[in-house]
Amino acid sequence: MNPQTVEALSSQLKRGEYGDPPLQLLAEAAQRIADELAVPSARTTQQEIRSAMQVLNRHRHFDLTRLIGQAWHDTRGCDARVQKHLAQALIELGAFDAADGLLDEAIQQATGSANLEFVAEAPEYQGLRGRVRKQKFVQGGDVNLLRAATDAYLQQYIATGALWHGVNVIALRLREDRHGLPARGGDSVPQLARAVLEKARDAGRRNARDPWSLAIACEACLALQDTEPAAGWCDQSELWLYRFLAHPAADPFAIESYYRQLREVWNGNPLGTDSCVDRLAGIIERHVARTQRRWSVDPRSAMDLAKHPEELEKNFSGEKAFTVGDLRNMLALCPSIGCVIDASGVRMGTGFLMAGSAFGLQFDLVFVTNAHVISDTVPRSLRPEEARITFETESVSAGAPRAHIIDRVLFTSEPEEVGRVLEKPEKLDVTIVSLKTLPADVKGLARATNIPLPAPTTKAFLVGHPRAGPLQFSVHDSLLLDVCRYERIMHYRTPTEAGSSGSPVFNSKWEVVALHHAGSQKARRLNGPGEYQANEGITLRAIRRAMGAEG
Amino acid sequence: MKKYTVVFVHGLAKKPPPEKLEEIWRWGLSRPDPNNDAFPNPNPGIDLDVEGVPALFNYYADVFYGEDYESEFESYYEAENAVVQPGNLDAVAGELKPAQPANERERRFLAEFERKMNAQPTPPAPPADPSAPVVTEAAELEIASWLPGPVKEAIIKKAAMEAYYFLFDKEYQRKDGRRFKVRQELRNRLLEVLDKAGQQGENIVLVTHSMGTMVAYDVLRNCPSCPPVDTLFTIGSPLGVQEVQDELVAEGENQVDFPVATLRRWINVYDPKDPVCGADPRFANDYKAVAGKSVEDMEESNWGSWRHTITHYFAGKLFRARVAEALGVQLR
Repeated sequence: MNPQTVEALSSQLKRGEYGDPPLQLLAEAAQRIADELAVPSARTTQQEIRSAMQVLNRHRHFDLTRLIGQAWHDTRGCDARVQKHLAQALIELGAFDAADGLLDEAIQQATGSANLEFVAEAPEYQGLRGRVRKQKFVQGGDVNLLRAATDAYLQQYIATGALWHGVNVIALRLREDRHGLPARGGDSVPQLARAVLEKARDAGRRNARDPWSLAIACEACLALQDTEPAAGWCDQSELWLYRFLAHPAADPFAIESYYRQLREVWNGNPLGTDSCVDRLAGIIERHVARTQRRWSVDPRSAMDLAKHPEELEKNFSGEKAFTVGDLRNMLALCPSIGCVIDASGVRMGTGFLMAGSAFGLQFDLVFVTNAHVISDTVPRSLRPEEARITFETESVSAGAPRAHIIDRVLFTSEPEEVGRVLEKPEKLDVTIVSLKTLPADVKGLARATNIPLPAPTTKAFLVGHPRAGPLQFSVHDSLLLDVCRYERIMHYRTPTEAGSSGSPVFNSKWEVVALHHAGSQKARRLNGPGEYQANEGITLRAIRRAMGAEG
Repeated sequence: MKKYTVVFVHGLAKKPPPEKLEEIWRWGLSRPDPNNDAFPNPNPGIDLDVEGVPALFNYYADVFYGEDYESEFESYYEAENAVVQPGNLDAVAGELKPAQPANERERRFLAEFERKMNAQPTPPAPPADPSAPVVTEAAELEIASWLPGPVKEAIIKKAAMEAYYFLFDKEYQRKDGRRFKVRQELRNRLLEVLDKAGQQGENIVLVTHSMGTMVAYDVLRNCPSCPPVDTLFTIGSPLGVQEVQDELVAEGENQVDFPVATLRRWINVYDPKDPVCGADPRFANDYKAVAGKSVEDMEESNWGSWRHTITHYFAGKLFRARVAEALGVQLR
């Protein structure tokens, strides 16, 4: 049974138990644990913190892991496992430099201290260091980072024989070859790939419940196709991919992780037809669109598609989940949707650009997000002067991350409890800011003139940056549940994750109807008694009304 | 209260159950890019739920055809290319008791109405194609494109009879024995729906098709209790037929006119090859302008050999633009 109080849930987390709690309660429980650490005499044990962080990472609540881990690090210093969990969370959140700093600190402990816990974790630190280098290489294209990433994975693979690291060594070595880096000694890539494939087959036979060995086998075959193009490895790779996708434990996160590897490390393009990896990427893309009614797009693909819209027709015309027109409209949204990050690069939320006139403001474009993401007064939000806004499409075009800073706060309204419908005062959980600089050629998102009616076919789609990964379109199970009588709040069943705060909520014409701000498994119904699982958005109409832009 | 409410009024022949008919009409209006040949893309639809516009459906097919609805609907959205065959016409369009004209005026009405509609040049019937799917249900007729000549004639005959029962307020006895005074019953039903609509929205937009256009005009012009309507759409309407106008003219008047007391704007949508409105598809010259208000006639393409299909009219770009304007929504 789910715990109903913050206290009960924090105790549960400290025992390493999860139980699918409401997100709001979970955030409060994590904050409670972090607050406990501020008291020197607190009885919270090291093991409890490790367990809580491990379970939060497993369920991808990286922001909460970071909250607890940072509190530990600030008050207690470096612990072998806390450091590892915290570094993992920071990597997932995109704070690569901060993660690197933690890993350096831990590796130093492993080499210079008698604490064997650090020594035992050292291969993990190296593996994570490899991941940091890999992600930074993907982001900036620096081949020195590519080399460093391969070295780190190799060290980990030699030490532990872990398949995941082995397959990363293979993928990164092929990238090294493509970049013309000096050849390495030891086993060749095909030798490594055959060894990893054999081990993955064996692991799959021994543990049928683990989907990862199937993805690894797929990737090993992909590497063999690269080195032995005439031997039919692509068909083998495709076969393993279908096995992976059909595996009951291959959940959306597992599929997305593998898909990201194919796109980012192998340069797979779901709309391309040139290579085996394109073929695999296309299979995953269509599988996700069909089974999850969700569509992720990385900025590079979005830009390619914008230049070659005929590719959409070719690849998606047979799909019923989205029309080609839908996809075209969705792509056009990408440049206007941004990520709110802190000074260390951690993703704190989403936001979007709209014409200032939509809010009665004399600005070409303004940036809209939640007050619990950016505010001068709301606890745990980013201060405006600390916040940075990035737009992935722009950063990819520029070849390096581009951050925009806030010029001034134009309007803000603090958050209200989920499902609370009051006529006055209106608490809208919104902050609207002007930016000192803007991405070029961005027009902002279109505003819906009307609030949709809840009906069995009325949808509410979310687009944002959930945790890590590319811009994600949540179109699965996206039913609009209800709208409050003041047309201020709307509830929808659209799945959301941390990082979705501040996301635009769209109607099926891809016009913004609301600003997403929270979710709850036990939200009060907007009309009538009772509770249900719902996500909640603040209507643009309510924001406009509060700003005097609408009567 | 919402700014606008839509009231739909359906046309002739047997219909699927009310909720299915409404679903088909909403689909017809909302589907994007429905027929690139007739209306080049992009041609966005209007989803009333997305636009926050409540809609009510005024249903009266049961007065003539009872409630023996079909229950299988799986294929009806695929029926656009299906053909209605004479052999199953009654199953598709419903059986109507033959009219029994009581006097010369009624006899003349039936003969002239039918003659004028059959006289209209319409697209040729499709060549016999044994592989073409056959329409078997009323729901499929709602979106069918292809009607062979004999079927068209039979449906026109049915239209004449329905108009007759309504305009002459005849008592109609259904198969199950239930009796209705047709004009009174249809007036009451629409008035009730309009009252409900008035409670939901500040402005009513009335979208009517075929025989339903007669009911709408009659209520707007001849029922003093009719609430104000912002915009009336008449689509594929027989209101241009002189014999119909003769029966709808208001008491004390010698010509049909714009119902200015209850209506702000009237847009009449027609395809000249639609047999139901083809005899006289334009109304501006028939319905006398009052206080500067007159009917706005608008030609819109339908397609296939049966140019009366409502879901095809709903696909029209001009029509959609006018509806969007009437509802204050943006087409995207």
